[in-house]
Amino acid sequence: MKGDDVSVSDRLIAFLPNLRRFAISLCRSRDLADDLVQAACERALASQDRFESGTRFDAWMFRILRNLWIDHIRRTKTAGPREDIDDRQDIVGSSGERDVEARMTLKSVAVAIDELVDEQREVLLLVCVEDLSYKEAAEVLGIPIGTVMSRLARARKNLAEAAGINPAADRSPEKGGKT
Amino acid sequence: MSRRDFDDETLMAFADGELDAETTAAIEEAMSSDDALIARVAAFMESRVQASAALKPLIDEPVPEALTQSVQKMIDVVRKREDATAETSQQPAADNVVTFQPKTAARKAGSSWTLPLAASLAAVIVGAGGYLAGKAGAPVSGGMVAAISDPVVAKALATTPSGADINAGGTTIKFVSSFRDEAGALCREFELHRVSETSLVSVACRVGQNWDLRLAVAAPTAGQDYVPAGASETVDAYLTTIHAGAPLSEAEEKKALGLP
Repeated sequence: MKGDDVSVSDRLIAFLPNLRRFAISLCRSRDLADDLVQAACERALASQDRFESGTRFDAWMFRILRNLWIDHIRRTKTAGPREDIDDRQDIVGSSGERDVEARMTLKSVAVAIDELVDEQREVLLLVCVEDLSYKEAAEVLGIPIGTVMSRLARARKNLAEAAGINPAADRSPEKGGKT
Repeated sequence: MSRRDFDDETLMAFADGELDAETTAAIEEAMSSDDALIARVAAFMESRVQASAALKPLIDEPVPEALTQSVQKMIDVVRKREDATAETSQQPAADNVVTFQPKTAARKAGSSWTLPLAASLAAVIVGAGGYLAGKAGAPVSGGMVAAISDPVVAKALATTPSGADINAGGTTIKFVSSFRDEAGALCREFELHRVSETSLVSVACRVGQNWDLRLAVAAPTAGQDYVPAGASETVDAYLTTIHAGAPLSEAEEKKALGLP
């Protein structure tokens, strides 16, 4: 149970900020996110024997948390409680020191992320925010790498469009798009 | 030199450094003479940077004290239990949740958690024939036990997608999720509700043409659609012990069930 490596319980507390960020972005509610984080920690502790040392702890935790979230969604049969837009903007955080323009840009990106469909948002979070590889994200989400890539590409195009972060590019039509 | 088209996925993988050397070289080559291509790659780099920056504030945010404490408490409990287990050399815990095909390795992982959770429930029943391990308190009514082994349930298991409800003779069967167990068998979590009866949260796995009931947890209901957290936690703990995989997606489930 306690190998020579750092155990799950040793890592859990330090990992809470990451886990919580993922949870907040996933379920878009802080209260729900904290419950979810707690449940994920409980599950992780109960099954810490199953964590293979040498594999990524963060990916393992994200998978546990995400499975719990999916389960919750199915149980409640809704897309999950949504908060109103004021709460949601709060997700961007209150670090008010940045200059106004930068803040507005960030806010719009955060809102744009928030407005992505769930399957695009989660893959974006894992790869672009949490720096998982495509393969690791595929394992967390239980989908093939090809699906990770197509969802991620779509997520980023949508994000770029919604938040206006596309460099002025010649958008020539590509050949035979997949969607 | 023929001009190659690269699709979005490939350019994105290039931007993310996930591409094989050969394709990477081809894109670099093409970029030297194609500004539009550069712009497309740049857009993918930019979206990653922007997404990461946008969510940066969240990670700097202090974790609520209550959450940290609660997790720390769980850690302390686990450590204490580990130490105790080490001392008494694997004394088997009295286990209220008797799984229908117990797996030795799984029990080791799961029993310590399922025990306190299960103890909060009115009753836990288990087994193919509705084997009853009743606890003090409200016994599971015969009606629901009978209902769960009804052929209608087996049929519904094979044909109803998760997220759907079906009604059969006054019983509402609510399908929660499908997943694979450690051995790859298709398993489904579902709930049975009947007005003014104890609800059941169940897990059944497919064996050949039949559905094997692996677990049924009785949950005192407060309403038609409500299963108290204790019951679902017990099921969660059980799923952990059987090394349940991630819930299948809609498409995967359809395929697994052989639905059109």
